[in-house]
Amino acid sequence: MFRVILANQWRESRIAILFLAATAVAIPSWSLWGTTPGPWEAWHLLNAAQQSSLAYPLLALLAALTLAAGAWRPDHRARHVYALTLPVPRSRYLLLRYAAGLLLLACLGMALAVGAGAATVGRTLPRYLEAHPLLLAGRFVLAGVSAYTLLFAVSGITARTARLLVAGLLLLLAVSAAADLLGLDWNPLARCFEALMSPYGPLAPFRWTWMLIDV
Amino acid sequence: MTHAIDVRDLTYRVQDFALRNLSLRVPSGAVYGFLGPNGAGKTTTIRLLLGLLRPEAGSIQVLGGAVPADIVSILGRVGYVPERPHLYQNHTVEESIRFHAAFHPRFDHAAAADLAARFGLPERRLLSRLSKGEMGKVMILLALAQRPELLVLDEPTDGLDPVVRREALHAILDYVTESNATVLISSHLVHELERFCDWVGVLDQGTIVAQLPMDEFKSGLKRLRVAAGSSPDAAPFSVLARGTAGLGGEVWTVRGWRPEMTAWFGGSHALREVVDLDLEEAFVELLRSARHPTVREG
Amino acid sequence: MSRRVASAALGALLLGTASLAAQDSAATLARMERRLDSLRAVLAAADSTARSRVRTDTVIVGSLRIATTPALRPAVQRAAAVAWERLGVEFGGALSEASLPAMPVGSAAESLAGNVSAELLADALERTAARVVWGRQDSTLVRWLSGYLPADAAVADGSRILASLVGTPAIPNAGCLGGAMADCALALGLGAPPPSVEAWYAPAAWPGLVERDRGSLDSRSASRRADCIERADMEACRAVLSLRPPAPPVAPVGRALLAQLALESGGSGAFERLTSDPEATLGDRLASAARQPLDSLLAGWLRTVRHAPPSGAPAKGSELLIVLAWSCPALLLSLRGSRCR
Repeated sequence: MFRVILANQWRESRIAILFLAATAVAIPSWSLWGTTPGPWEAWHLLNAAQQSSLAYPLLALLAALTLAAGAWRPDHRARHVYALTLPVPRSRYLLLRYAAGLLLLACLGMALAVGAGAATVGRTLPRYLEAHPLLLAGRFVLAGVSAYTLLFAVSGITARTARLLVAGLLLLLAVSAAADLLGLDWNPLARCFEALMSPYGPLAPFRWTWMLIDV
Repeated sequence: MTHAIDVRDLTYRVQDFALRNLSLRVPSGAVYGFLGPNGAGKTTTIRLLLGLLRPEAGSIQVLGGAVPADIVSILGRVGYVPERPHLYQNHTVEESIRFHAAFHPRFDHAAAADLAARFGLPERRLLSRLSKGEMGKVMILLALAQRPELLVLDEPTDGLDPVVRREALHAILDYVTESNATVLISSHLVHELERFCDWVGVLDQGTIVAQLPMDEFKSGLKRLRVAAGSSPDAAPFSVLARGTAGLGGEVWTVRGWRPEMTAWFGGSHALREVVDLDLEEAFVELLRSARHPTVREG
Repeated sequence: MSRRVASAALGALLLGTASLAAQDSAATLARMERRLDSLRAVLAAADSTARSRVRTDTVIVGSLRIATTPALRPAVQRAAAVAWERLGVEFGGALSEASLPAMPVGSAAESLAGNVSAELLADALERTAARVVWGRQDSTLVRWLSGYLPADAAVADGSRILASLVGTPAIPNAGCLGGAMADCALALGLGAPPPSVEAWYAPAAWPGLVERDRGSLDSRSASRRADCIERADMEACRAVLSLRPPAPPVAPVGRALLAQLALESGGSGAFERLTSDPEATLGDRLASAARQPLDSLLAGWLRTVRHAPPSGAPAKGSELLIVLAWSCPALLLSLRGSRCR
């Protein structure tokens, strides 16, 4: 069952996945392109790693979006009738869909590991600098898992639940706008965002250090 | 008699439509024609049977299992062809077969290949590029190849050309003949079902109007030409409708007719002719009487 | 004229000024500048009028004097008390001698709303007062801190400081990283007189140093800059580097962190000890403030910098737990999705 579901999701999102994989392989090498040996090599490497550090979490987010959408699109298109008439418990079916996306995400993580390894292996780094290709790829996968799981859960909700969610968000926006107009020092939307992005929040992986080369 | 489907007092409401105390019994091994006009509730009933909708009241038993408690095991034994295509459009025919087979342990690959050849299906073509008829054939192929005990077909030939319709129905009949499976086939194309259904259930506005063997249904509904002035009082049959005929006579549409009832007219020559109704005419008369009862029950 | 209309007019004028300035017309520029000045005066008058419509109160806590509105007075009083306590810890007895300027708090809108965050206000008051106190110290100390307040430096900046230590090809940096405290002192600019570019950077690094200096230059210096970068002309590099102090080997926040560590280590009276003898070297002053030898202070600084976690990172090893902690409930919720849709 898993194999056919994996094949289904691969077919649904293969072009996007291939593009993401190519990007994952290319970004590390591209980011270190042009850094030449010399007195300032360490500075250049750190600078290059810093400048490209935003690309990896963005890539993880894109990957999560692509895979979550790809997991649900075939069923959304078919109005879930086929999936709901398969002789398999719903929870198991959803788990299979989720796991297929996870596997594809792991493949993207491997692509990043390959790209990061290729960019740094054989390169003599200045003293006190270290390359972290596997750590980077691991963080990519973790960030991707975090976002993918949330997006997978959100993508699978029924229309009624989606309406409730949107209504809740709009209410939050309205309350924040009203508080701002009244000059109140209270912004629930900003607080929510801060909570999401806090060091232990669900989107915390996106604010971790994403340096391919670091001290 | 065991029943493949046993529905009792089913109630379901959505917006301004309702199924009210619907009771449906499909005998095992029967080919049950589920008739009704558009909007009668046929598809809704089928969705309730398959656990796609949740009823407000009533009980549903399919192949001895309760819906929704045993739905997973039930679905493994039910082949379903919905009204609208429900398969993944990004699959080829071959991939659809493989996908479906992965979820059905009893899937017969040889039968699937045989049907694919018989239907002339292009195995490498995407479902999104198939014609309506080809898509219908794919759905029927999958439903039959999984070797179900119960086939639930919701308007399976709707919109198909006569050649495709015939191929599809023959394939279904062949399967039923060899496997003794039960078939629930819903349609508003009454004449199509007449040839091979042995049971008929008529649904109208969320209520079962009639549910009986096909022979009984057809034989019991007649159009009687009677002499003017004849009265249906105390008749042993039900008069569904009365109308005037030419030359001073009347036309009665009756239900529950048996040949020996000719004797009720005595020797008065009041009964001039007994006309058989085909299934479609019988269906229309039944619906008409159900909606505007002028029936005097005999 | 209302403040909003004046602001809009000023904004439009600024835009117009920007486009006209591109034409490099001196007379037009002068005319626009005069218009800007007069509009600024109008704005200031409008602001003053708005403020004068609202009655002001003065809150006095220690040396803090804060002009505010009656509506905000209670919040300002509380914030000032908190800020004064924190300032007392940082500056000790030196604070009571400081005559701090009056600080206005609260706009007309805030007074109408009657709402202000006490925590934010305390922070703002503390920072403003601290900036005044530090800014009044001797020029050597002020220059050395390069505009950073010691209280602003946090352990979290350690990774940034370490990156500058490693990335900047300064002569003392490698030795400092290797544990040579004398090199750390040199890298942090603690000696007297202030180090020259030759003391910090080998000639091979000068072209890169010049390239990173984005300051404006006259045409002659610009030409020398090009010679330095493109042809590695050392004399040209020296000439350009002599125009401004060289970029320090360690990020300026590193110096603020060292000062903060010294004050924390020294406890009571640390600030007075740091500022009482402007003639002493910075190293001696910091050691005196910290009540420990300079080498020991620098070793502590290096340890802090080396072991500082990257900013935004959770506790070590908890990354997987965080992801699992959020992913599992989300997945469980989605798995409970109803069969009936």
